[in-house]
Amino acid sequence: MIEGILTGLATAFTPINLMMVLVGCFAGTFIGMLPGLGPVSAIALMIPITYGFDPASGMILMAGVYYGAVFGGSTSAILINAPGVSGAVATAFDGHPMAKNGMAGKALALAAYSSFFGGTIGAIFLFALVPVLASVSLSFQSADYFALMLFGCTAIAAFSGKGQILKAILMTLLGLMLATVGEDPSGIQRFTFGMPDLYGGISFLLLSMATFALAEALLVVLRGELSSASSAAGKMSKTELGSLKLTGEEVKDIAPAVSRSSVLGFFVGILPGAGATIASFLAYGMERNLAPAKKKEEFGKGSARGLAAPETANNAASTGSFVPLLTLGIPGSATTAVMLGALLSYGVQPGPRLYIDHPSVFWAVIISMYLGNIILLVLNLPLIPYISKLLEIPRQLLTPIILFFSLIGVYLVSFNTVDLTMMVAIGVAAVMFRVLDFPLAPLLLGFILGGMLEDNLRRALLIWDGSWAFLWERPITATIMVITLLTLILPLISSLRDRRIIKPTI
Amino acid sequence: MTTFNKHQIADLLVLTVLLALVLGYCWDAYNASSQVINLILVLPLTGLVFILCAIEFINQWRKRDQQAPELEPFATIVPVVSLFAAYVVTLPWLGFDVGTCLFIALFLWCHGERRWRWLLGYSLCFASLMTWFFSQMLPYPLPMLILPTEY
Repeated sequence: MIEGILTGLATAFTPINLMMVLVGCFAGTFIGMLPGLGPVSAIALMIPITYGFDPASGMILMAGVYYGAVFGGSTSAILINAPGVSGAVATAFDGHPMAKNGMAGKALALAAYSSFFGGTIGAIFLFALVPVLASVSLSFQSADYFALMLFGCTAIAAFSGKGQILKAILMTLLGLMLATVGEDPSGIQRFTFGMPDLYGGISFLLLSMATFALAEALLVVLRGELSSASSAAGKMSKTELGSLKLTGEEVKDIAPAVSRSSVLGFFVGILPGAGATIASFLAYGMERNLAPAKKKEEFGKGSARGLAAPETANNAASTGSFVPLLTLGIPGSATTAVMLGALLSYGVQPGPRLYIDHPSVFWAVIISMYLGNIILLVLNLPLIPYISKLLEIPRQLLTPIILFFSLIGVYLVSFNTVDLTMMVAIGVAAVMFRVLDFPLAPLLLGFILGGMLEDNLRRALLIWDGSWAFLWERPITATIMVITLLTLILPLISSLRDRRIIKPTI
Repeated sequence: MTTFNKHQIADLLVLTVLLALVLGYCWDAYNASSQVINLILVLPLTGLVFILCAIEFINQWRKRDQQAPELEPFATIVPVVSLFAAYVVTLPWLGFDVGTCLFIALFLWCHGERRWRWLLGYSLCFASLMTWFFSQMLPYPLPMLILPTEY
């Protein structure tokens, strides 16, 4: 192993590969910042460019692009509430309100520090636990995944404001249903209207672009904010933007959240199929549930914890998602799936033999991921004042650009105008939902979890001969189910207790 | 007399459409295959949506005659949505280059921009630069009318 690490260090620290990380981080941040273009599109764009490269250099460039795009996605989520990356959706919940409250610089700095911390913990775990983690993730079965997806659904309570819980649940259910549109594994077509373009289902990017980027742009028009600079820019003074430093109190406040979220994020990230998105939602939900009553109220209105938790978790999970890719050959996320394709195109077969057959590729990628984290921190923090200048662009000029990027983002993945037409229709529906206080994040959460929930439930039932006994007979499944039930019941008990305390005083 | 405010009427309309959509979806899935494995998620979800919509209908009924915030003027987005839809529909003929340029210019014009140099310059620069960038980056041709489509 030591020999492998030294080979990896020698490969990663060659001038050309250092340049690759640097270029990758720059390009990734730029592409990720554009609403509509996330890591998947960014890496997909890199594949034709890296055809002639040696596998290590190609993968190092892609790792840089990946981290850059994840950070860039968070930047656009914070500044213009348009997360092009599913993992940045939870970042927008508190990041954008912080920007609106005149703390855009602080929100971006917080995101950079949290990402760095998440990446660092992820890298340490990756080095120490790769062999162990491979066997742990192998022991997860469909029943456990089903329970995990169900647990993910309980996070909706965190996305609903006062009196919105019913609407939030409705949106989650709608998301779960939208996820099942298309041809199922047994060839049955559901809600496809006989249209071949719908056989593959609705793409996540389409739904994400329609409900966030497109709906956000249309809301700007609806609310007559076109003639002004962005609302955040309007409230932001130069002094506030200049202050990127976090106070000791703020660091103390977010430290436990960041520590918990990095561990949670990494472990969720290593589970194939789970990835950064679920990690960020779970971290957000967990921190909201753990926060004291006073801090809980700040969630969704610009809470530092609410921003730090998902940001840390999604970066730690991004590192974790490389574990199944590099050790098992299973992509942990859509992005690593694209990377898997790239590795295969280089003639490198990811899997348990990767770090025996190609130690330079295996370790160089791991080392470069950490290098990418350092470069992002060094690169992004000084650039934050310039990045925030984006807010000063009048919305009249920015809105058609957001519309263009949401369109090209969907086109890059689908290559057809049917998906674009569907995006327009869903975008209009999303505006209506927003106007009537139906929260949209649960819709995305349900959509992300829906497909996996159904697949794993079906598989579990097949394995257990149609019996539901797996819910209590498999220890891992039973444990997750108990945690899920506790997550649902505990807030109810605490709210009932609160009512009893309040009653005598009335 | 019972009166619902505009916000509540819109809420009830959306819930009705949602319910109809979910019931239609369940019916479609049932027609595709009535096997338990096919309906294992769809059927319970439909039931839950039905129950939640019923609860929400009752909630709205209880809240009738109450003051509600003004409904935002939804019709104001119709011109932008129409323009964007036209941009999407005409993409195969106008291509990304001309389509994007026209879309941006018309968007700005619709929102009060009358300086023709600014209109032309901004839309032309953005459309040509971006479509050229993507046509160079992508390993497949992007629909274009004027700019070269080779990659």
